[in-house]
Formats: sequence, C-alpha cells, structure tokens
Amino acid sequence: MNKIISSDGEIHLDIALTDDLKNRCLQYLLDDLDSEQVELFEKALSESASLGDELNRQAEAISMLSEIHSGEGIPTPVQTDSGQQTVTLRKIAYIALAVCFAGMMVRGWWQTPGSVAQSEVAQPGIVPPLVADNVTDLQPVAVPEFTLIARAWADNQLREDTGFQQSETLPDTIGDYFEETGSEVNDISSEPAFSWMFIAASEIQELGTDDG
Amino acid sequence: MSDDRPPRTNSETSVETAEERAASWRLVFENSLGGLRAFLRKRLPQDSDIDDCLQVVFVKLIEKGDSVAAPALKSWLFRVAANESARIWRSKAAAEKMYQKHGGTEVPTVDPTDAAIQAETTKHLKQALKQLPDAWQQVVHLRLYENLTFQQIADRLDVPLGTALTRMRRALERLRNNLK
Repeated sequence: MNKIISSDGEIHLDIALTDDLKNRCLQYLLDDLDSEQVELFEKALSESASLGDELNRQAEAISMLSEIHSGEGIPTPVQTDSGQQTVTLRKIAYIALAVCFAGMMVRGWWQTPGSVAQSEVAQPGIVPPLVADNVTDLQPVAVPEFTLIARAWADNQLREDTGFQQSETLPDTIGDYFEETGSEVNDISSEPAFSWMFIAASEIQELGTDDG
Repeated sequence: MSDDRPPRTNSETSVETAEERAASWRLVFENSLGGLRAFLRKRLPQDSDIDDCLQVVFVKLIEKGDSVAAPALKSWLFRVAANESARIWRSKAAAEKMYQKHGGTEVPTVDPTDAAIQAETTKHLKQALKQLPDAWQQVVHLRLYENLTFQQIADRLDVPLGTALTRMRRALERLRNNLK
C-alpha cells in the first residue's frame, strides 16, 4: 500500500501500482480476464484512485489506437517478413532482368555483321560453323540472320547442283578470300547486305571439300 | 464482451427497431456497469452524479457504439465515463452550475475544430506507432486489429504471457507520452 496525500492534506492509503497490476488493467479493458478476476479487479478499482487513473490512461491510448483504420501502417509478424521477402525478390528479379538485358546487348553486338567480320579477319582461317546436310543440326542458338540466310542459300545450291565440284577459284576460307581480293573488314561491315554471300561461298567451299 | 455487442445494421437487420437495438446495447453496457461504477466512485462524490454519468455513457453507447472497434469497446466506455465525470466536475465548479443542473446532463455541442484536431492527432499517432519497436507493434496489431487474446499472442510469438502484456502496455505508454 502507498500513502497518498490529497490536496486537502488528508493521507489516503492506496495500493501500489505494480507492473503486474498495470498488466491486469490492460487485461480488464480488453476482456482478457475471467469472471472471478474481473470481480477482484473491480473491487480494487473501487478502492484505488491510482488504479482508476492507470485504467483511464490505458483506456485513452486503446481508444485512440482503435480509431486508426484497422491495421493501416502497422506491420504484422507475417506481413513484416513477407514484405521484406517481397522486396528482396523484387530486387533479385530486377538484377536478373538487367543482367539478361545486358547479356543480350553484348551478344547482339558481337554477332553483328561487322563484328563477325572483325573476328574472322582477326583470326584468318577460322570460319563460321559449317552447314551439313541437315542444316538445322548444326545451327547455333544465336546465329545472325544473314548467316542463316547464307546457309540456307548454300544448302539449296548444293542440293540443286549435285555435280558441284570445288572450284579452284574459290578461296579456302573467308580470310583467304579477303587476302586475295584485298577487301577490308570495314568494307564488309559497311555493307552487311552482301556479307552473307561471302559466308555462303565459303560454306559451299567447305561442304564441297567435305564431300570430296 | 465483444461477442455480446449488437449486430451492426445491414440489409438483414435493418428491420431491427430502435428499441431492440437499445436493448442489445444495454446488455453490452451492463457487462461493464460494475467496472464503470467502481471507476466513477473515486471520481464523483455523489451517487446521483455517478448515475447521471452512467446515463450519458449509455446514451453515447447507443449513438456511437457502432463506430467503435469491438476490442476497444470497453476502453471507449471508460473514456466516455472519464470525460463525462470531468465535465460534471467542471460544471459543478462553474458559475453556470445551476443552469446545467436544470438543463440536465446535455452533451456539449461539438466544436468545429474537433475534426481537425482529431485528424492531426491520428496522424501523429500513426507516426508514433511506426516508431515503436517491431515486437511492440506486433502485439498491438494482434490484440487490437486481429482481436487475439494475450494468451494467443504469447503462443503465436512464443513468448511468456507477461512479456506480451508488458509489450502492449509499454507501447501504449510510449504512444501516450509521444502525444503529450
């Protein structure tokens, strides 16, 4: 019991407000007590002004909180975790998309006609993948369009011209062809519309070599 | 008590008469009557004042009870009782005491600035709520917005009952202090 001195100077005895009693206030306001506990609490409430004050303070705070729209802006245990997971997954998705996009850009750049010619010229003798009897068997996944056209054209030519023989006038490789004709890389890259013909020619030659 | 509250008006219950609704709210009120009376006993010196105060609380319950969230209904009743008891004290001390007595316990008119003050208070309260530790916010949410009992909250969070209670109480204290 605590001694309380009122404004008129009288001394009153009041119960000590322990944490347990404050918690009991909370349970009472939120109907978390059984009937026996409620009876005991209300008896204490009728005898203690400080307990009434504590009850009033808690009631005020609970009432204010209840006026906020239900749950708005308040994280729940599950929502907090899932929210963080969602943010993390979203970040990962964005990064993956960015990497894919960058990869596609780089790959596309390397496979432009000019860059193909560059790589071929830089390493003479290295030719694009060859066309076999079944064209689709040897198709890389990301072959430039002009190469595909060239291969198709070459394949058709081979199928139509069954008496195809290797011409001595044809260069062994594109590199050789460039050397013989003195063409510059920039010439090919500047005219991608014709570059497929050179590749086709080299593939015809290669196929003819394999056959023959 | 929250289970005893009258059903809210909707298409199915629209035929419910005012008398029936008053009777339903009376049941809710009577469940809290003992506590309210005990609470007011230390605040109002005369039994007649306590009765007057309780009458106002009941009228307000009928008028505004539907707008109060079920878990907070009891707290709301105590708040109304506390406010009304304070008003009675003020009216007793004021010069218009006699006029008020003859005019009955009429509820004061609403101040037009109340809505703005209320909106501002709510805004600050939301900010203060977000600044609470997550563990405290969780308990507040689960108790007031999901209406779990403290024991259920303790079980869900795997903490002792006293810890759940203390988190809630400290959250309320912090919010109250922030709004002072």
